[in-house]
Amino acid sequence: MIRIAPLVSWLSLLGSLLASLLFFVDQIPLDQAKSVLLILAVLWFLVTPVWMERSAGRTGGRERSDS
Amino acid sequence: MAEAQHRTTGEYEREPVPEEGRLGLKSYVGQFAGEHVAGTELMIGPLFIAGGVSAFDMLFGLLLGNILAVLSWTLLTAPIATRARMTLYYQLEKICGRRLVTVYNVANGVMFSFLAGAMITVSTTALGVWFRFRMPGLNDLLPNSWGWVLGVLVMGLLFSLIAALGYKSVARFANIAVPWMVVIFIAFGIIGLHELGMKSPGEFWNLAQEVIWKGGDPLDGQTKFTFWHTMFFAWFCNMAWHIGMADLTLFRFARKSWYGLASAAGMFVGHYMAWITASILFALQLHENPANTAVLPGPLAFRACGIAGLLCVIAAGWTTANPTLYRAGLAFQAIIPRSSRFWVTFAVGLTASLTAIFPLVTMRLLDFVALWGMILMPMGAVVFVDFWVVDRLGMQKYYCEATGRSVNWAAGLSWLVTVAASALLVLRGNIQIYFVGLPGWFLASLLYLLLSLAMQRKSRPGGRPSEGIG
Repeated sequence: MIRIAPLVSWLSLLGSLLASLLFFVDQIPLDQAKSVLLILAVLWFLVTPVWMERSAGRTGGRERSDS
Repeated sequence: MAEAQHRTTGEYEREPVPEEGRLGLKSYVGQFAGEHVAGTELMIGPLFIAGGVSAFDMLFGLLLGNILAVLSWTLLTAPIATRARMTLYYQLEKICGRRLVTVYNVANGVMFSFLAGAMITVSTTALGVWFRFRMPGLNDLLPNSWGWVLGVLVMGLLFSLIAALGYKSVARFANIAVPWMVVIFIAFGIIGLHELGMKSPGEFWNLAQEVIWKGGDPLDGQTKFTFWHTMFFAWFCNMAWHIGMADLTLFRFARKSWYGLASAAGMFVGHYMAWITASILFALQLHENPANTAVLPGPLAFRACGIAGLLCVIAAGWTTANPTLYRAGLAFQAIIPRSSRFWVTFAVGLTASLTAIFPLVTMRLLDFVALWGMILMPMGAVVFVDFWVVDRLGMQKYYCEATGRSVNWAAGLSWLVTVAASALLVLRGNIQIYFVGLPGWFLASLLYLLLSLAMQRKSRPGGRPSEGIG
């Protein structure tokens, strides 16, 4: 599970980009694009914590804030 | 894992970072890319359009301003950070003394509180879409519905409680959310452009000039934004961090000073792409209803990406308000070290929530960000001059540490006079707040140099400045 989790996560991001691009080229309506974005968002937040916790320390945390 | 611990447990706060504590380039790219996708980007992008910016001024002004910001981190901040390897606070304490650092902490804490308030405001606009309460317009300074007041207070209470209780867990959530938020910001742009009628990438420039960034007069009550406004805003919106030297704390772990270039990841993801896509959403709103000039990230994001857009607004506001509140709490706690961090952070959060009720700061975010830089920047000039120039002129570097004094009046007066002169010029209309940072930095540098010369000459029995300590 942990091995394929990063793949699932990154595919969900790729899918989100794809949904907006498919809307851009008139292949899907906006409502459908919005539904896909929501489903893939849920997928990202369910799957990503499984593997990203391990590498969080290496990428640095969001410990200060932007203006 | 050790790298993260250095920053979160406050290791090496009063000593130079040793060789084994140093970080690689990747850490900085990740950190910068993550922290500049903030809730406030969704406010800043539309405010450029409200300022009547043209397409060329927007796209090229931001480009040049962000390049200058990256160069400021690389050529001014990182070289000092990687040589001294100390936090800004420790370095300031050595130069200015503990009392002045306390005043600096108060100023920093107050500005952080207002910024956290703006982030609470941004997230509350997402609640407004769900609960359909009336939200403030572009020129509203006061709240215009009880629903808004209640929404801000609930959101603020939640943010404050979480910041006081579980900073680290939200930091972990932020790390997870950032890549997704970047993708949603890109989706904002792609969907917004298509909704504005763009069918192919070749049509972009025409659409940009004719529909999105049309130029002309600003909206009522807004400052007209030209190329120079855009450039200086992009350069100086993080002025407190680069030429203000707050990022000495961050870059003291860097193996090489050129890691300052990693700031490009934050500038070009957050302060270029995100500002541009957020302003495209506002252009879409104006295109559909020119009378609707309200800059409300919730409805803007919902129009383009539905519930995923609203989640992005809440996540972007929450993940950045949380460390902002935490840092404001730390700044105030440093003044009363025995106070409880929980209660200080919670109290700061409640204060930020009260400021968030009034949309003044958020709707004037461009001015507020410029004001923040103007207030904190002079201390960056003091650090710069003290590090590179002072001992070369035969004066005492790290004056307070060397002499045991509690206040370095040369630094204190440089700060005070620079802020007062800058404020006076801005209030009298001689210069706009977006531009005052540059002359202000040179003024602060010159003042610190001259005042140090005068003060150190006077304090030596023979009338000669003391020898530098290296």
